[in-house]
Amino acid sequence: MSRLDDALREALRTQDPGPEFTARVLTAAAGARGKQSWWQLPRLRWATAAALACVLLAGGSLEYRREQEERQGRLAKQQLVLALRIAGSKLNLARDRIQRLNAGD
Amino acid sequence: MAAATNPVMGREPLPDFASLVRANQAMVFSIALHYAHDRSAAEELAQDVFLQLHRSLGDMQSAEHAARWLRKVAVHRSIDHARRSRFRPQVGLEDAPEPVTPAAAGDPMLTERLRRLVASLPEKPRAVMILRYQEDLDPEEIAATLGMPLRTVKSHLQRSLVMLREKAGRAFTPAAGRQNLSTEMGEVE
Repeated sequence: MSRLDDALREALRTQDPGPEFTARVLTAAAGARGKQSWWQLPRLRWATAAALACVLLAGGSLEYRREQEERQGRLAKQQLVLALRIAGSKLNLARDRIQRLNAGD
Repeated sequence: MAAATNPVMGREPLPDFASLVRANQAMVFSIALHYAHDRSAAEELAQDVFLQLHRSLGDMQSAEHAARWLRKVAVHRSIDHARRSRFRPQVGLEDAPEPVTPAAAGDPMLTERLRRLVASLPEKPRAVMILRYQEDLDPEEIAATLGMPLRTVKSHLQRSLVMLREKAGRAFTPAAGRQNLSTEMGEVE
């Protein structure tokens, strides 16, 4: 072991910053925990994710129901139009027959 | 504060945060202090390192793991701090009085001069010297801590010692101190 080694070990020996430092670090850590963003809290993060999933599921379900109703409405409209067309052609037929009967008189 | 649960079975439970701070604060603070040669900057750096530990406490497996982690983070944070602030020693090396006689063991002037000289080394060699002489790590451990090839660590140690010997003045000249540089180099190897 050389004298330079000894001198370097002496110069670079560890120094304790003291109990005030410990207290300061613990206070800062407690403060950091208090200031922790909600997203950094695991339980809240899972709860938020679950709530978001529920909202998305409910929204999706509502949207599906709305689309189903819209489709049924379109179908009903088509059926009504068809029924009106049939009724119209039947009325035309009836009117033609009446006219022919009147003409035969 | 209760001790944190250790995820790895069969190991000692991880001590609580306060115990980890008390057990490692001298090491972390001294790395920062010897690196920056500035007490307030060292305290700030050391506090940041412990706050980072607080956030990563769940990843720690044992007290020893935490100590190794703290040493590594302290060195890397000190290097980053030096790069960010473009740290230069506040007192020039020329201002430090050069010893004119062989230094006695525990000479406060020599000790302070050596601290300044170490703090004036380039970033990586400075980190190598602090880990070698403060933490008493061997070159392999230093290489692992700094993520540096072993050969580079040895080279930094050799060059730094030569530079320190030259700049520390007469205290370590062969005539005065009966130093043998080749012995030292052999030790590094």
